Amino acid sequence: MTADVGRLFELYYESLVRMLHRRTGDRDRAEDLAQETFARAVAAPPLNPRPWLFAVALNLVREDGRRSVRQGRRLQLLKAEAEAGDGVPSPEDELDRNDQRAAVRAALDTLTERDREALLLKAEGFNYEEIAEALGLAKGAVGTTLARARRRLVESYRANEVRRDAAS
Amino acid sequence: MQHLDDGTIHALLDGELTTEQAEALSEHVRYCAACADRLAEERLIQSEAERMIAELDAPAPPAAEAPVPPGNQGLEPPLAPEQPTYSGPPVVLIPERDYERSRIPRLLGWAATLIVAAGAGWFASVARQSAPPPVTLPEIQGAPAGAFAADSAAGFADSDAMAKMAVPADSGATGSATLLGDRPDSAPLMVEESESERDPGAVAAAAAPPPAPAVARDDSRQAAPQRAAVNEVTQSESLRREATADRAEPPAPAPARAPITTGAAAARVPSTASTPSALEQQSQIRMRLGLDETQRMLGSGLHVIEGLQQQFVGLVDGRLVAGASPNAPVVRVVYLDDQRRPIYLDQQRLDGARRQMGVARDTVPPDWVKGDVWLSLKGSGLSASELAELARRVR
Repeated sequence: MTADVGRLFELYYESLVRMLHRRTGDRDRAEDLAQETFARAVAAPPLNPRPWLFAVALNLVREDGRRSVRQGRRLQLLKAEAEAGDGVPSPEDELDRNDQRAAVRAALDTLTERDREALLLKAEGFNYEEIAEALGLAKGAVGTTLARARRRLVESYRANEVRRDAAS
Repeated sequence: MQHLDDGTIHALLDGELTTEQAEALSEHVRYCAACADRLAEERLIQSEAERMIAELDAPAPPAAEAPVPPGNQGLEPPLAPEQPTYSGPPVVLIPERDYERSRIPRLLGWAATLIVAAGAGWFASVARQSAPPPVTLPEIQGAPAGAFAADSAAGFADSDAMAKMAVPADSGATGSATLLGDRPDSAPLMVEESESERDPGAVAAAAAPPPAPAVARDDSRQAAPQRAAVNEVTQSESLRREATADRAEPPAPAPARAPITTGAAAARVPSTASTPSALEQQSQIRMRLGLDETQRMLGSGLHVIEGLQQQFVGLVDGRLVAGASPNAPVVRVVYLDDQRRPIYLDQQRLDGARRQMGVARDTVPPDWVKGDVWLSLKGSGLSASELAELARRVR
């Protein structure tokens, strides 16, 4: 059984951490949540592991987010300060990239939880059936969910872009 | 048939429909302009959303520490500053710190500079009267008297004041060390150019291997002793020939020259695509892909050109590739050949309809089918025979 989870770890850990990092914006937290997810898989080995692992991880994000929103924000602020204060000048393109990343994150935050999760799972290569299973949706609803999520993400990003341009 | 709804369009774009469903929709889209427009729009939204999600990933390590993929080797100029090689007399450099000293020593330095420059000028005029005229170098005849002072300064290189003197004496008309020493860093090239025009003696120095930007300032100072060397050349015809040969040698391309290259000339330089990002742009890559993603998109392993090192793999729009289905992305493997010409090997998984239509039959490189994958090979500036040779090496 442990060997099975070890295999799952090899197969999905990287993908899970990437999805969690995209979801939370915090690499350390993403890794912690991924570890916790696999710990749960050891306790209750899943039948259909990939959707199960990602569903559990997304549940953990939601629980964790509700419990420690403030703490998370504070940690992120401290982390940002530490990074800004390390005295190493960042190249301009890196700053641009950070801005870009923040803009995408802001756009992603405007989506509903379900739309956001559907997008993130699709980005990890999930097919509609797996997305439906992980999110508890009907398979026929996944296309509509993704269509809405993608459109909202892009529109929100573009609207923010217009606002930023107007402000600058 | 009813118009397509968003969910169906995205299911089509995501490859979630059966062959029959996809065929029916394709047929509808062929005759329904509204749905065709919506399909195109949703495809853009889908690719834009995917690109945005990928933006969320952690930043790449700093460029200096980032490992260079084997395929990118040789794309960029070496990072280490290229010190110009100079085999003439000892080079007299003005240390940077001289200009950071307190004001009084600087004024003293100025006074010493002026006195020595005047003396050197006198010495030069006497020397010119007493010495036989330079044999065959008219450009040396036109050199300012200060060049001799620079020569003298090179002989007294231990003296700080003499070292400073070399600059104003060399710069002739300006006679000011601060003009050279305090000019903005962006100026060296312009100064170097104007010096070359004003003082033909500097041409030999300009013909030396161009300096990297970081050393341009010091190099301009090196021009003084280099000109002193040219004075010595007047005494030796054989050395003069060497200098002439140096002058005739075309300067090697260097980053410092890039800003003064004309637009037309710059357009001809193939190195516009030499950086990975420029090449990525030129290749119209929407998003780079990893092996997992390419495997997923193609349903089989990535086809590669044997013996050619790929630069990167990315996603391009199907519309950009002849013969590819416009409804699906295309995986593009980007290569550079030994002449740094970009080569693209485009690949797209055949959809059911195209398989059934027998599109795989009678296809020949550079647009052909291998297994279930449509392949298209293109190369900027490559002849048909070169493409055919490359196509033979596709595995």
